[in-house]
Amino acid sequence: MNYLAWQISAALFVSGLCAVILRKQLLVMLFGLEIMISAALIALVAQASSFQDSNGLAAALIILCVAAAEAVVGLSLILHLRKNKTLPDTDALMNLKG
Amino acid sequence: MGEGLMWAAGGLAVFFSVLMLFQKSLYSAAMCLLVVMLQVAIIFSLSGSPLLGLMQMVIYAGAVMVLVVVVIMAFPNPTASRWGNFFLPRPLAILLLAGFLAELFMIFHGAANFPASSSTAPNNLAVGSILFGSYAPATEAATLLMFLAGLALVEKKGGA
Repeated sequence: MNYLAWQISAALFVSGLCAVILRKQLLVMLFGLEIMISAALIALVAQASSFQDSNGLAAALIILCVAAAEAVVGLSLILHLRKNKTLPDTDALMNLKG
Repeated sequence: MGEGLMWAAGGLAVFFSVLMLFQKSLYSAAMCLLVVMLQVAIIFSLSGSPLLGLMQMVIYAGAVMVLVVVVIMAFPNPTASRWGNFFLPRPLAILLLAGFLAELFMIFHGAANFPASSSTAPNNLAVGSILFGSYAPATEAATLLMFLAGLALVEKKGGA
């Protein structure tokens, strides 16, 4: 079962990475990031369970909360783009304003 | 039984994460993400941590998805092409892809020897006592971080 968890984790990580690299919409890229974090968490939980290590599960829970905070900040940055009427697209965001 | 369920949940998660890659509409991409998150919650429970599975459902499938819908409503549905244009020289891109596929092949074919899966995973009591015992500062920091992240959404006065 543990080996299967690793396979699922690897496949999910690669598909999340493809979303970040290939897509143009910032939102879908953020989705890809979330999938990559979840893939890493699957591997961590599988290992922590197989070694019967509750420290690992506690760490996974904290990582889950920090990843949710990261998603919220990412979503609020995308939402703030609406103010200057910019589409949340990597093509539209080409220069860093000082 | 557990193995079969794990196959089903993992297969669905991977299928919908690849499906999300090709969605033009942001709504359908968000729905695909929701399915992936729910399958990941099931995988956590099958791996022996129902507490994590429930937290994944509550935090991701609940809170984060609501914000995703709010952000999608704020923007028109994209009409332009969905793919970014690549500046990477083609040979380098092909090399990277080949390297990745080799790594995946090694993972799928057990290059590293994985320990046998244990029958009894640590129970929620042990996780809870660790979270509020030796990990208490980290737990408080994570909850404070989530609270501050929520503040990022609050509109500043004057819209600056």
